[in-house]
Amino acid sequence: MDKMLTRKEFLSNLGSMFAVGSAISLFPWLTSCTEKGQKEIEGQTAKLGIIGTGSRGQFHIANLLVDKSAKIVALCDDYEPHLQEAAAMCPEAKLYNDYRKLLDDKNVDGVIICTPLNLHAIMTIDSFRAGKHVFCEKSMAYSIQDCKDVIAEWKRSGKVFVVGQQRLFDPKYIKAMELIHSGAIGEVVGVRNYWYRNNDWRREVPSPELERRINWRLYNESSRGLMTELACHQLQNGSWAMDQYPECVTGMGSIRFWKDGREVFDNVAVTYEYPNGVHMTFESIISNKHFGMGEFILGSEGTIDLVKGIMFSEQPAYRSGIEQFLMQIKQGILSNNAFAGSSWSQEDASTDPGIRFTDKIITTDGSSSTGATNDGSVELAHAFCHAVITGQQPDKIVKEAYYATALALMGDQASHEKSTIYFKEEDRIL
Amino acid sequence: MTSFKYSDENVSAPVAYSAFETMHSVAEIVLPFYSEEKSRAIIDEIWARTKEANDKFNRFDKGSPLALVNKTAAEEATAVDDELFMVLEMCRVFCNSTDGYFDITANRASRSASKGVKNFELDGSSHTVRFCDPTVKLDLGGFAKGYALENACNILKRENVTCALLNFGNSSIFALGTHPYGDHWPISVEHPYFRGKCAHTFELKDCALSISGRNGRGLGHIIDPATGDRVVKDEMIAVTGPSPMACEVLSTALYVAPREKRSDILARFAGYSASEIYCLTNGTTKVIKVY
Repeated sequence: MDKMLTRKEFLSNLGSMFAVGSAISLFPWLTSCTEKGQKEIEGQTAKLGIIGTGSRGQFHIANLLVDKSAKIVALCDDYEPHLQEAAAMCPEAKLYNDYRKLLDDKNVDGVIICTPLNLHAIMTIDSFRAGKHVFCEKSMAYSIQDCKDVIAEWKRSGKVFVVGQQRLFDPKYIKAMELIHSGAIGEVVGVRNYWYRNNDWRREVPSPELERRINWRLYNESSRGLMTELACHQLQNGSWAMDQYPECVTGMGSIRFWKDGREVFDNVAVTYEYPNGVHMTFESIISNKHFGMGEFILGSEGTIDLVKGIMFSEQPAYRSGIEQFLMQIKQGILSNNAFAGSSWSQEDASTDPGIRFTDKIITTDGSSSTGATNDGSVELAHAFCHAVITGQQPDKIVKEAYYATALALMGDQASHEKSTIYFKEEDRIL
Repeated sequence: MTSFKYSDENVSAPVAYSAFETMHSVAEIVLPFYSEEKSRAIIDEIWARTKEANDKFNRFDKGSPLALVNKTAAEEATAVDDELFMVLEMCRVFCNSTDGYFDITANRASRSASKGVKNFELDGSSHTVRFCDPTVKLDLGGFAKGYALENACNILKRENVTCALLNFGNSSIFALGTHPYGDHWPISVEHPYFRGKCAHTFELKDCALSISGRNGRGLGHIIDPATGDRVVKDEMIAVTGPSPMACEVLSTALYVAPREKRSDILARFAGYSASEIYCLTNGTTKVIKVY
């Protein structure tokens, strides 16, 4: 697929969604997607180094190879097969086995960090100290203290910082949030998230001693499991919709099915409480995929399905049966349209199929562990290139990423302790 | 709430469309060939007449004449106006002629041996109604749309209108004349499991259509007078014929009635046809004519 075309479509969609200029005032991190933003960097490229060239790193490389504002000049991985796979994609890039050596490379303007969670903080901090701009994959870091350290170093560095919360760039989420903020579904009264899969979440391991390196997601020393790998994306929804952050979280988790030596839970259920009394849930089970991935904002007058881009009204409008004939007669034609049936009544709300609120809707089922196209990832990577070239920090991204990570980490703690964890005042740093 | 649209872009067939929220649903009309002014006048009169019927027969409106009957007729003979008296008389006739499967007292609390017609008495000399069973509540929900549609047709005929389409809640339809570009009005039944999919098409000309059944898998709203339970059947019943009111009554009665009794009941109504429409979850449809 032509990724540039995708971005053009994205721009086109944005243009049709909003009144001129309103998108940027509502969603200021989208500057890179505007025509003005495109012109600012015309003919210029961000010289990038990729740290961590496994599946997610290669996903970004594939997207950046067709982005005219990006040039991949360096690659780093301490696992040789992954490094060689990436090298085959970028034959001109310099290769490194040690990320610190890559950071010494003066030709690198910015780095994209796609390594295990426990390495995010140290690599990001070292990158800022080396004078590099940073795009770090989500979650931001392994602990809240690590996140705070990262943010402190970012502020000291004056460099650009982006974290992989790609929903911020997904047109259907942007439109949904605009609808919610405009009151289209009344008052927000609940947020429901879930992410179900049925696979063991394992990668093939060529040799037993590589188990913890390859399958880092499954071990406590390098991962916070489903909360930091999946929930982190969805926990953004409530905060984005209500512009506030939860006060506390309670949760449960266990290893129910995949008893294969892993240490992280294979199912979790957590609930967050916001200051206004709204509760946001996150559930994940990776031994049943019946429900797939779902994200819903529940309002007093309607519900928004963020994943499918559909808005349901609590009191759906009547769907005319015969208005079609007006158009037909105007055009001098006769055609047929099915509408008749048992009585339509105002009580038929539960059968209402809802209204799609974006054209050319593209949905993902959440089954990929690598990343889905058309979920905002391409635009996010482009936004990073724009920021590297212009030196302009995209607004809000760091704040959204910090709170999404903090909520994921609090949820993980709550589900391990089977307790209620309160958001500490000293952790509300942005 | 009422909406009105008019187009004279097609000079040979200017057309008006209007929708009106009423009877817990929406009524619509398509009226070709008239000026905007004339169209508005006709449609306004139809909606005014419809509202009048709704206000009179809405049992949920505590101030309506029907609600007053339901409140007092178990205690005393309650006087009603000519129109309501006439409607109750017609409902008794329809109840008898459908072997009690059409019954405006179907939702009564008690299940005595009485058929619907014996659950209330009408006194023609005083225009009063009195309930024989204290749990009786009259419900004109299965009758009022057909009645309002009948009134609307009468207004159109009085105005010498020869081409119009009326739709009350998608279940009660009257096609006057033909579509301006056809020899009939094509009216398709939507497959209840597949939105927008045509299950069966009726070609109507000077003819009413009424459909009774469930919406998809949900519980229906039609009550079996014999048991007080909601009727849950796989099929829809579609009835066509000259009178929208009779079609409405018949589709309800035939839906409630067992299959083996449907032919006998239908045979009492000259000029009416009925079909059983079975829509399956795989998207297919089977239509069986009732003979």
